[in-house]
Amino acid sequence: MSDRGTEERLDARLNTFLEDRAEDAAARARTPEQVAAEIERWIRPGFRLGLRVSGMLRLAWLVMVGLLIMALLAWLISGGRLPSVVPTRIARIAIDLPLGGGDTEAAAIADGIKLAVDDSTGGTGRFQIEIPAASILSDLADGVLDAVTGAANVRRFVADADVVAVIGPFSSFIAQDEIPISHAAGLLQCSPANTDPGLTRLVGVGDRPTGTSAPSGVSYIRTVTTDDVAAAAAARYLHGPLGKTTALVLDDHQAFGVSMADWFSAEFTKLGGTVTSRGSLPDSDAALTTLLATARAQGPQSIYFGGSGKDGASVLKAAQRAGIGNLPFLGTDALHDGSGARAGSFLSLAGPGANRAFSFVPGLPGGPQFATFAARYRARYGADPTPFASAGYACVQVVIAALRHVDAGADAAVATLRDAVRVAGVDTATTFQTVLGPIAFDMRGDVMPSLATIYAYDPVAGDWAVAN
Amino acid sequence: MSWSGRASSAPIEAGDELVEADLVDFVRQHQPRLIRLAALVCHNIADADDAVQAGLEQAWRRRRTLRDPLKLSAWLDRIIVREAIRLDRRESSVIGRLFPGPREIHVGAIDLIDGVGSSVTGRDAIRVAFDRLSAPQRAVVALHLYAGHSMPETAEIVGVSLETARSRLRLARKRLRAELGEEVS
Repeated sequence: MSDRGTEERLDARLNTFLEDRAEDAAARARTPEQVAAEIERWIRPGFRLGLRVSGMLRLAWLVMVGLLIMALLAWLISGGRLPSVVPTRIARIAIDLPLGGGDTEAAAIADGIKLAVDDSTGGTGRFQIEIPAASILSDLADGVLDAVTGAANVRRFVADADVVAVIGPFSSFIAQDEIPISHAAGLLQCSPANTDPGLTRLVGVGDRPTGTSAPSGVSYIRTVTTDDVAAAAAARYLHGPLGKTTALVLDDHQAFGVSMADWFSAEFTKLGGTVTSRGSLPDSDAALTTLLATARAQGPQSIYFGGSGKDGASVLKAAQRAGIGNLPFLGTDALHDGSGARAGSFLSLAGPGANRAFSFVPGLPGGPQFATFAARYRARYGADPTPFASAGYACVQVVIAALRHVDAGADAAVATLRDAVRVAGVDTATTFQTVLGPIAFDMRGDVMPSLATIYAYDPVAGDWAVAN
Repeated sequence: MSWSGRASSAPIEAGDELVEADLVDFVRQHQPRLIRLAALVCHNIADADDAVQAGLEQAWRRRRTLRDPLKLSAWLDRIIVREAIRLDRRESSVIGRLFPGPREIHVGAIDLIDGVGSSVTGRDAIRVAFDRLSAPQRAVVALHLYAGHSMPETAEIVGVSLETARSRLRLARKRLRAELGEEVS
């Protein structure tokens, strides 16, 4: 289509959107009578300086202004600090993550969350935001992810009258057990890491679990996009910028890897691409090499693998032995498991063979606030923030923004306050300004825009870098 | 209800009538049109409400200074749009004070608004893309494409040169095209 045609189509869509948004605002705004009454109150004689007032009142104003100026000067001379609004109520944010088991990603998320609370400079006026140690719980049991422990953690948060929101969990299968509990309590829950689309949608793929978060009265939101989005992003990137029309697709037999390979194949086929071979990892490296050598005859221009970083490295090495190691190699965020310097990571195991590797992370790459956030994170923790750490920070920003907009008074009942925070947090009409950029949530609690970030191997840094 | 319908039905005030008008009638007459405009510049309805109230209050206080009653609508638009931009900047600055970062970093990412399994609709896509525009860009889009002001009128209302207004509209369109990708191509 021509540029002019594109512009006309854009304007047509824009006009429809502008009309809809304007009408929606008109329906939800205060009535003219309410606005007039409020203005009337403000312009009442004597309400503001500058209105016609009696001579005595004017004198009183002058005295007050003089005293204020003197107080200001005294404050400046003393090098004083800005007086803070005294919060009248604690607003506690609880954390549920697999902490204490050596999971560096979970620790990074917790660091991001704590930094966000510190950056909030203590509160939102009426509320003093805090995360005491007692509100940071691990969902590991004997070092293993445990949904029963996660559910028990959320019950403890619900029982704490000061908790207004929960951030976590990390794992989607734990979220399945936690969401019904937070939902029943009307407690806002924001996950920075749950990427299973089945938590909020019926995905209809095999026997994957379906969501428990009700479409009405949603209490669960997430600041990461979902796995199906990342898989489809890989298909679009392969078919678009990389210009490949055929792909060999493999999975690792696991539910996650199979689903990713299926979603990738579906999107790639929809775009007009061809999946030349579709298989699963065999038991041995020799069998894998044979499988790939056979697949080579089909003429694939690329390889997509759904599975872990370790298995991904095995596939890549077998592809080299089979003579197709120079093809673009695309994988899930599981490949994004550390730099080449980290022992056991995909990049360290794959070595130089990773020079045409791409990983697709379900998440937003960062907005205007990101650079400053990253610098502050590095200064405090000595490492770059991971994508999930940024998403954890964004969860706090959403909770704080929700607290700013709650109508409930600081002395409101627990259920009333929680519901007000929940309603403000899941409001589909609100755009939140976060380190991920402006984000919103759809009616299911999924973050918009639906973006996946594309990483390519940077041989100079020996690490993943955002693809250009 | 369309903007043009509102605009054409709004009578032009005579100077004396405006001075003597009843506040409630004044608000009733202008608030429905102005809230629609403000909502397109602000990020949320609360800010739009605040912008309209503050703008109408300003206008009411200064109504005696309006010499040309034929320009009442444009005058009100100017007050409300500038108030809406000011509020948006204030809103940004709350976080902006904490994170005074550079402009948005553009990195490789594919928008999958209509991606497989995605629940996001096209309307949501354009809403998010529109909200990613700066407030001054949204103001130019709203005044020109929605309210139907000519570009010279739009520039005057926003308080910038004609070239700046055109540049903002051009950049806004470019950015929306980039955000919406193939949906509009």
